[in-house]
Amino acid sequence: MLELERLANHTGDLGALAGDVGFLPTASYCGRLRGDFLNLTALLCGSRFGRGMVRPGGVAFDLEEGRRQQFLERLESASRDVANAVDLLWNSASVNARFEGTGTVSPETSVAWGSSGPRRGPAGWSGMCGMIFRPASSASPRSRFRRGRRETSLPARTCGGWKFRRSIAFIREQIASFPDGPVRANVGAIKPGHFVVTLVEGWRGEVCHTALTNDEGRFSRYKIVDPSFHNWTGLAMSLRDQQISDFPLCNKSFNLSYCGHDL
Amino acid sequence: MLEVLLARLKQGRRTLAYPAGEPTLPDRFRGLPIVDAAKCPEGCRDCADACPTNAITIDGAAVKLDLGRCLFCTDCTQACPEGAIRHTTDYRLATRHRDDLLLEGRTLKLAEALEEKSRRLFGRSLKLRQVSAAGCNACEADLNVLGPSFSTWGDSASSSSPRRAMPTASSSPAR
Repeated sequence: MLELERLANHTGDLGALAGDVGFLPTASYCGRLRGDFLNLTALLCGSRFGRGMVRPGGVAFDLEEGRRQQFLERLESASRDVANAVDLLWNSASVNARFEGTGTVSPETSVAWGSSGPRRGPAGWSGMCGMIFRPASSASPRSRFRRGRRETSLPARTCGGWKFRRSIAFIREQIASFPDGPVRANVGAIKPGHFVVTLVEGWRGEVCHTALTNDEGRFSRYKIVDPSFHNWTGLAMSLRDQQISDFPLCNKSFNLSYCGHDL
Repeated sequence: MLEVLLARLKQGRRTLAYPAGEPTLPDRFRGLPIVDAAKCPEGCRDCADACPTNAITIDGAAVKLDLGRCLFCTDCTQACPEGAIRHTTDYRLATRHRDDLLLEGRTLKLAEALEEKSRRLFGRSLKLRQVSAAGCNACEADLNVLGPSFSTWGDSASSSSPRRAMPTASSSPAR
């Protein structure tokens, strides 16, 4: 589900970046293709935004054989069209010239501000998630982003480094290796007096949820730190000594949450 | 240039039948929920107890649903022992007033089209200003694509400036 969200959002971002430099073909195609990935999510759970799917103890819906086939066929068709639209963007000299040198942030600055996700760039995949979980397989989020050159331009780092073919391969791998059994377990009541920290690699970067329960087993505090929390400063840093006309490109590269939390 | 034209051919023309035809919805789509209160066992409160947002209230024999609070999850439909509550695939859920989202039985007072005078005033163009007030980013993401290529009203439907915007859309949790 998260990988589908990543596919949808990065495809949309690429389209938006293309639109900002006036390259309309990719802007239009990616605008539609983003929807194809959202519709794949809806195929699984009935909601384009994954609502109702993830539940305490598992997920609400299973993936039966017919649906699996349909899912893989539609994924294949969407990924073919994205490859076409994205290659068109990166093969265009005028687009590359406009992106070049726009919104560079040094790895040191990124680390200092705690930037996370693909925007952090060559300094590596966001710190904590990578350090704690150390994903071993080729399917780790880190492997789906190319390691960029030092101080590479922001649009290139955001989406150029995103190997969407790896994202597709990752989904295929996951679907092929689904275990049998129930999709949801009964988790029972929330334990009183507990403290839980979770870290998830969301599409923008690291999402940290912290929950505290009181004596009655109710939440007494629930705190979320999301990638946008750190990355807004990254956006400000990317615009240092830049022209104001570079703002849309830098802003779209980060594509941060304007309100609430990244979930 | 040749590459652009080839890509154009490859991507083809994509459009939907809506609004002239019905939209294609996924089979698991959860639209307007309906309650058949006649099936409810005496004194049963399973759906109301299962609801994570307290969107369901049971008043005697009547089951009332507040769609302003409903998350369209599956907790109530799974909790119901009689299958009395279920989601239909009716996607029309827009109402004009908050109170109209209170559902008792099967009918929902849907938002009506603009009256003739306003429609003449707006013409075929609608510029929408979106205010994100702690929305979950789903409305934001979908409103964001109401640009020229996704136009529903014949013209670009999003505006970054409130000066050029006619209606204002606010996305936030229900109050």
